[in-house]
Amino acid sequence: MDHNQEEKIKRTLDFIEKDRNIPDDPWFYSRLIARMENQEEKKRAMGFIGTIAQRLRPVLALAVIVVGITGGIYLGRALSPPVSSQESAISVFITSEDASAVLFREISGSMDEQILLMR
Amino acid sequence: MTDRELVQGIIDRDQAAFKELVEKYQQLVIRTCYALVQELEDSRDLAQEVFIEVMKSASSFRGTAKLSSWIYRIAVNKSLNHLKKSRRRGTVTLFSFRERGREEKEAEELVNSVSTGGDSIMEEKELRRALHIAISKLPDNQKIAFTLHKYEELPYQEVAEVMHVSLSSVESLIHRAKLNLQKRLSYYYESNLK
Repeated sequence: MDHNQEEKIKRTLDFIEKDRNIPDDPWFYSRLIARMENQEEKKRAMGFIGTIAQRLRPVLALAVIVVGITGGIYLGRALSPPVSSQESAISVFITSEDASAVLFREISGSMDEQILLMR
Repeated sequence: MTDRELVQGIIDRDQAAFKELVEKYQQLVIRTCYALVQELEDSRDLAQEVFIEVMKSASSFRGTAKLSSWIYRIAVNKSLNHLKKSRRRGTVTLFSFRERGREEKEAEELVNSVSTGGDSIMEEKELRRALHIAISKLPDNQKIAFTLHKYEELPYQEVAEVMHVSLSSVESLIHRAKLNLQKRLSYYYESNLK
């Protein structure tokens, strides 16, 4: 770092001294009181129920999500055709058996082809 | 009125006590907010929020620490929340055109309030901007320690009290902040003022 730059940094940091002299705001207190009164007015206008509703907003949002998910699950169950537990177990067994049979046939077929090619 | 009497007055909803407290600490609060937020208008708004908070939570002030330390802490928290919100909104004010115009106006206001005028105003503005950018890029805890010590001239012990950290941590934070500022400022001069 050269001398010139060092000097510049020192001068820049000296602005902190100057920044301490923030110009006075003669209306600060009156604006603060006006703001507080405005907040009070809003609170009064909202009334008790409004205030409670505002405070409970996150809880209400969570409740809506929970109701939505639960409703979706119930609706899904209500609209799907009824399947007995025995039936569903058999269908799973048949499907899985079919799938394995197809797979076995495919593997053995490809092996046969390879044996033929080797010969 | 002593600080304890002021607080008691505020708890009792005494308007005169509140006015006295605001007048006594107004500059301190605005300066602290300004040091962290770097915008005069926002600092004045934040200072109002600080006094509203003081009014609301006066009863929770236990009097174990100094009243000024308690007010500093509220001011620092409000300013940091404001910065977080601005960052979340994606409006890094120093680089947005709209805010930049306002910032320049505010810098001018500050310069005019302290400078003797003349040709140096432009350079002053430029250097002040460089300083603001460098401070705004410091990590939060370094920024708080540095600004409380440098802008508010608080002794290390009081900075430690406001920040709820040890004296040695404050020393280390301020030392690191100074090094970081020097590094950033020299980088700024190299890239902008050549």
